Amino acid sequence: MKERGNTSLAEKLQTPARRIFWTEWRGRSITYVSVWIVILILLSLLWFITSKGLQPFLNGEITLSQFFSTNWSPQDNKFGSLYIMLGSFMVTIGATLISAPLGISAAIFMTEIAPKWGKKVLQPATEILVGIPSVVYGFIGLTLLVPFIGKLIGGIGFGLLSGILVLSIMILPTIISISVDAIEAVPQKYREGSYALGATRWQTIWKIVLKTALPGLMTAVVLGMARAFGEALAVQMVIGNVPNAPFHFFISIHTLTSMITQNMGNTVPGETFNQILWSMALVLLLMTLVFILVIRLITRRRDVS
Amino acid sequence: MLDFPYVKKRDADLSTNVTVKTNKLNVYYGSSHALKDINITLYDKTITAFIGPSGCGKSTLLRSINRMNDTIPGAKITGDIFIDGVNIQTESIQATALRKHVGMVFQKPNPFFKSIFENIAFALRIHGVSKKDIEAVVEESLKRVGLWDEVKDRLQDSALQLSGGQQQRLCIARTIAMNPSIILLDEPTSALDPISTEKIEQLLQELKRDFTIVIVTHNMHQAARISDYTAYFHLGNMVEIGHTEQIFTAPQQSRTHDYLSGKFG
Ligand SMILES: Nc1ncnc2c1ncn2[C@@H]1O[C@H](COP(=O)(O)OP(=O)(O)OP(=O)(O)O)[C@@H](O)[C@H]1O
Ligand SMILES: [Mg+2]
Repeated sequence: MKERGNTSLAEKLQTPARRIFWTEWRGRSITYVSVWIVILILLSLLWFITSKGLQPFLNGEITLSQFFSTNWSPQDNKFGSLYIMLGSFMVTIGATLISAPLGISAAIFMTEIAPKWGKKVLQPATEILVGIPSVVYGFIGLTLLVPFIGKLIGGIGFGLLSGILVLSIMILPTIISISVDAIEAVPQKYREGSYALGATRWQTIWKIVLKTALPGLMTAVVLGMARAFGEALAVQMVIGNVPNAPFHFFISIHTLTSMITQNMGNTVPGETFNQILWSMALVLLLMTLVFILVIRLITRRRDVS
Repeated sequence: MLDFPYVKKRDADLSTNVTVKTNKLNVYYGSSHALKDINITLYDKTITAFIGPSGCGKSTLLRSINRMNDTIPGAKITGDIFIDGVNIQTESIQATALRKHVGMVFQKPNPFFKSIFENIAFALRIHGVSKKDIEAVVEESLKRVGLWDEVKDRLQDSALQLSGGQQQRLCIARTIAMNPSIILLDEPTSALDPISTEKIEQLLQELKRDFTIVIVTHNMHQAARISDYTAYFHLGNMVEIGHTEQIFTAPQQSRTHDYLSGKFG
């Protein structure tokens, strides 16, 4: 009696286990296979860009110091790309200087000052803005901004300033929506604690809420920068695309991305110019890596404390 | 029979100076009537405990005394609250100055995302304490809550590294650093272990010498142990208030008796 009872219990305990084993195995295989496909794609991309980007240096067609010089003249086989890289940095930094304070202030308004209105109207609105394709931003810049600046300053209106303005509008919603998330993640108990000590609303926002949300806000800014740095179309449409020294607002400039989009079709694979474009892609890739590292560092600090 | 062996004996020399007095205080959250015609008097340098079932309005009354309800949209208050004879419901009363005078400690310890030192210095700075005094006041208030020896070597470390009990004492320290006259505590030990709880109970006995203390607690034994007066609330009404010894041995109202004997809650 007793023994039979035990075997049937053992059966009961085992039967579902077999079924579970198969579903478990199936689920695990699917995820494992997917993850390996993704890793494979990623690694081959990295390998492809890196090897392509290093090729002109390994083949001796250009030296590093030539690449990082200002002497750009493709018809003479001179590919000094320093001004082009600086162009990328200038538009990125300019756009960030405008959008970071603006975006964080807007996020404060939407979460702390007028949360009802912010939640119902502004937040969905920024989410739509985040989703607008960059070519649309470029098109708007080309149609409205460039002629306006041209009229205001004289000249054609293409150039650094137009690039900065278009990019700053483009990354603004990104910065706002991530900042909103960061501020909303600040626990209510901190605000209560601050008010209970007799702090004003502004003191609470400035010294407590923003301080607590700082890692998230910095992430918002860095992500905005990354988006600006990697943006090609919108920039190419308004900056004029001449590799001048990018130290003047109203001068036509070039960036890494605009150089690639403009010339990838006009150059022949294998020729030096085309190889140099890959080197520029590699620089973009490395910069993206830097942005990601920075975000990692920022968010890690938060976990520790 | 009520069974509170450690009930605090009535103190012979309790102050008769009135610190807080409410007059027909009503609080509404939108259409819900959270406090009904509360007339309560709190005396100087005493501990008053608010007890009662969940949702009866204890926190609401506490938050009325330092006008923290101002921060809740839809909260409405009628009636008067006098602190040392001043009606704090008057338009001209600055909530920020009032909250310096009436400090508050919360259920969940909420030290800021700052260093131990800065948690207290923040409170001092917003009230204009000069830079050279801040260090001394920080040290003094940490000493008063018995935290100084535990943290004096790591004042610049994040306050969030402290244990729950230490965090709560830090929150009390930053409250008394402002030199308030009243301290409101809303279930300050309900998130703490027994040892931390006992430390805070002892601390409150010491702080009583200088401050008027109001504590909300769900732990009836805690109320019986540490308070001079106990007020029992039910569904927005203050059913009964009296000396703690009397409330816990011979309550006047049957509803109080039922609650204390565990018939509901
Ligand atoms: N912010 C708020 N908005 C709307 N209603 C609220 C709010 N805070 C409290 N109430 C309501 O007011 C009543 C009293 O709440 P209160 O928090 O004062 O009770 P309490 O006695 O402190 O309860 P507990 O012991 O659970 O903390 C409850 O019915 C509660 O639902
Ligand atoms: Mg409460």
